[in-house]
Amino acid sequence: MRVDGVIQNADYACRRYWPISLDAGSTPAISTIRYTGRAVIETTELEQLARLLYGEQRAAELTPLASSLRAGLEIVAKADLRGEDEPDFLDAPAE
Amino acid sequence: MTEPQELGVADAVAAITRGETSAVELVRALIERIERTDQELRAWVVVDRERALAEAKRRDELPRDRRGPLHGVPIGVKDIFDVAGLPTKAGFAPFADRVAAEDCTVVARLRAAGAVILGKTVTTQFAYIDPPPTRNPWNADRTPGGSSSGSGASVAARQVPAALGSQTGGSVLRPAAYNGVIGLKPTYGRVSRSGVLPLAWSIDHPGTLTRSVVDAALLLRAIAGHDPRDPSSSRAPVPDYVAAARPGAPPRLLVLDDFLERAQPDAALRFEDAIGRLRTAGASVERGRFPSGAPALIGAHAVVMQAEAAAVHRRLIAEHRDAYAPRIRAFVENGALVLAVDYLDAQRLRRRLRREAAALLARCDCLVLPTASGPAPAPDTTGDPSFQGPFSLLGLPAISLPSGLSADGLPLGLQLVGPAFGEAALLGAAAWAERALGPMPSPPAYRP
Repeated sequence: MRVDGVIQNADYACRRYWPISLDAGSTPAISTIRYTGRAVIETTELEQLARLLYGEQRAAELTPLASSLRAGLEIVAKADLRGEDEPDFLDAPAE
Repeated sequence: MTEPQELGVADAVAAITRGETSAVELVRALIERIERTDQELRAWVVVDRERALAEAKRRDELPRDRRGPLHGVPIGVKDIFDVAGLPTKAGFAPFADRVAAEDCTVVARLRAAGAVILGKTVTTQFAYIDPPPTRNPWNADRTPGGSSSGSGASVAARQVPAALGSQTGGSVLRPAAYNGVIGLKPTYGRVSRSGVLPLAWSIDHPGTLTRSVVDAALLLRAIAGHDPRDPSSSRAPVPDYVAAARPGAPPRLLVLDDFLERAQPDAALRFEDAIGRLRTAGASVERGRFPSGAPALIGAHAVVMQAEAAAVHRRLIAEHRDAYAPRIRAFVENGALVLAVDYLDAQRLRRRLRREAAALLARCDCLVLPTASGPAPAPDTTGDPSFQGPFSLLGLPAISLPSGLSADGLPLGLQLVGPAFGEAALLGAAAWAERALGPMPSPPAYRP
């Protein structure tokens, strides 16, 4: 993914809503992000984008949190969850 | 008589009952102590002086047969719980004038039991991890932890005998450990969330900070039970937690090695020392680990919490982006990228992990692990939630007890985790461990 292309195509959205609105662009990279969502957090460009768009300080605030989410998503994606098909533990008491 | 600031919850009720003090005298003494110490500690958002004194006066005027189990006990309330007539600011400037019309269920139940609401304690913004102004009473250059920062620090500094906190990651147990007090996070659904600002609805738990296990039991007995205003509130019967919170037979403990291996070396060493003391006192100790491993618990928690927080804050952040503190803002913004399938798979993983926890708990009375990876770190963070968050994810009751001091003289905590709705047995085991581990002194700078 070319960072400059991302910035060019999603500049306004990124400045206002980064990273929520990265799907506003139309380059292949942006389409990938739009399609999977997860690409944003798995790619090292996350940090590069943060630095380029928001400066070092903002990147330093964002990346540790993105890292923990990235790790969580990777674990969830790798888990074999066959058989775990009961209604979700969403808003119900344990008993 | 014991100095007023040293009275715990049970002590205060007993002292008032014996006529050694009154609710008004106690509230006045604590307000004066807060005025003397809080410029440094910064644990309070507001002390509701006049209304607390008026409420204490009403308590003192009650005949003995109408007094509740928390008669005259002053309590601090984390500033995400609604207290009628006070703003629920949650550390968020646009909420400065958001005055609650009524008490949240938990506060209403505390009042019904006779407690006096002393004021609101500092929370990190929206109960997340942006550093609070509050200092750690053991060392002003360390964090008090969060997000129940003011509640943990104020109870440790003898400004108040008990306070309400809440936990989505580790926001009750971590401040308890860092400040050397008791933190109790009951089972999900045991205590109503109605009137409490949400962060992640399927993991949010109200909890308590006290200086003894029996005090935690007294508060839990007052606040537990079904609430039709909270859709996740359980109808499970509420046992007599106070009767249960007495040292009984030595518990069977299961040390979670997969967490212990992640602790800092000094904290791990001192944890093993504490386990040795418990074993010497008669506890049986075996070792175990989650089959899916600690990273699965930490990872599923991160995904569920972040996705739900993004949903909770979706509209508010669109209106007030610049008023958000940096870390909660980034958390919400990143959380909005989590796909539905990832959130649902994290919930499916969560269900599996609950079964794994139940299998481990079938072998023992309590799981045991360090409450945190180490002592309180520097104040640019609220510390590491990875030892507490997993048990928020699982919705299991957990309690943190002070287990000693680190090499640099800071409190360390030992966490006991019980089965769902097993608070009575958990409190009994905690009371036993509390006696075996011995008392935690007050922070040196806050001693009389």
